[in-house]
Amino acid sequence: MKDDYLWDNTGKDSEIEKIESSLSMFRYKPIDAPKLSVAESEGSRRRIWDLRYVLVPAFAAIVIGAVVAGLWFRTSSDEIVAKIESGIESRRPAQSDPATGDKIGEINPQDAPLVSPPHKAGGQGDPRVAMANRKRAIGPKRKGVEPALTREEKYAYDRLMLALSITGSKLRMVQDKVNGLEVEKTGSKNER
Amino acid sequence: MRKGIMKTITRHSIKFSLMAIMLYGAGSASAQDPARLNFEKLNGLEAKARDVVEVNIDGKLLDLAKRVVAKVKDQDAAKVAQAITGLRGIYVRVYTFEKENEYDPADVDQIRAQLNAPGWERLANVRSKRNNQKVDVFTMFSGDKMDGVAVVISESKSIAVVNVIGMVDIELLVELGGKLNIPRIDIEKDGEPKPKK
Repeated sequence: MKDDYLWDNTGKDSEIEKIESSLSMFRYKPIDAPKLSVAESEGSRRRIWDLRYVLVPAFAAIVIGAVVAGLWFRTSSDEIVAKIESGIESRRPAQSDPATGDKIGEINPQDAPLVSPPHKAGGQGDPRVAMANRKRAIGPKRKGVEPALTREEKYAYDRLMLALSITGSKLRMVQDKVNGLEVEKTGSKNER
Repeated sequence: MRKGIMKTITRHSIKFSLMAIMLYGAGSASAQDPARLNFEKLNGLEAKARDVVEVNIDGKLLDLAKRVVAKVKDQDAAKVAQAITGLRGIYVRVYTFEKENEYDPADVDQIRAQLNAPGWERLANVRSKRNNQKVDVFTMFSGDKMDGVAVVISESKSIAVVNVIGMVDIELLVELGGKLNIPRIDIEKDGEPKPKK
């Protein structure tokens, strides 16, 4: 047996070649090494900016923020409006007219709140319409002219008075009915 | 491991956002007053009635009206201002018909059926064969605080439904009932000088 063939595959050795051919199916077949990404090759030291893991939490945060903001606006909007209007009222100059004891409306039309006459009973209209109405109601300033209620205020007042008047009259009717029945009962008892 | 943590965060974020949306929706639904009646069934009576009175006052319109009432220097208005301090809304429907029995009583009974819901307590119940009159008065209280009043009056030729939301002085309203005069309030018209008093 010659050692050269086993060492560097030079020369010929029939016995070794015979063994190699019989074991050829088990010969090692080299394959290409798998390609690793830069992060993997560097041991994943870099942060993985997977878009999926950024967008979904961001969207959730936006939704939660919008809900909280909506709740906050709902609860505080009325308070804010009241504060603004109280601030407006405190800035109005004090007016007095000794001639009329039942003077109505020390309201500066320029400071009228943003409420326009509704399209139907009880609704609220376009703020642009309210602004136009307010400008119309203001008119040119004249010396000595008392400011009065705006159209919106008169409308609201009239509607409220109408509703309360109807309510009161219906309740009075009920009271009269009940009182009438009681009188009848006591009357029938007295007769007995 | 970081992927697993991010997946967990993503999953919980979706859950929280969905819960927040559902809670907000539930809150919006419950924000509607329990004392508020649904007048949808009465909308069809408008075409049949000879006279219709429909008044809805709530929200900003009511706040505006309250401020005006508070400013009006009138004895009745001062009492009204005092009576409606806790008022949150007032809804009135009055239908008057030309002839008797022109409407379906089931429409009015549907309004009365809403007053059988928990929370409403019957204050008065009057039945009269004259004009086939039925009168019901209900109140709703949460603890000691009044939440609403409902008055349903049906006759052969008319229907009246009044729904008051919030606290209101009923006795004062009864006292002022039919006596509330809308005082003259001058409004500036464009280009017209206001007459001096």
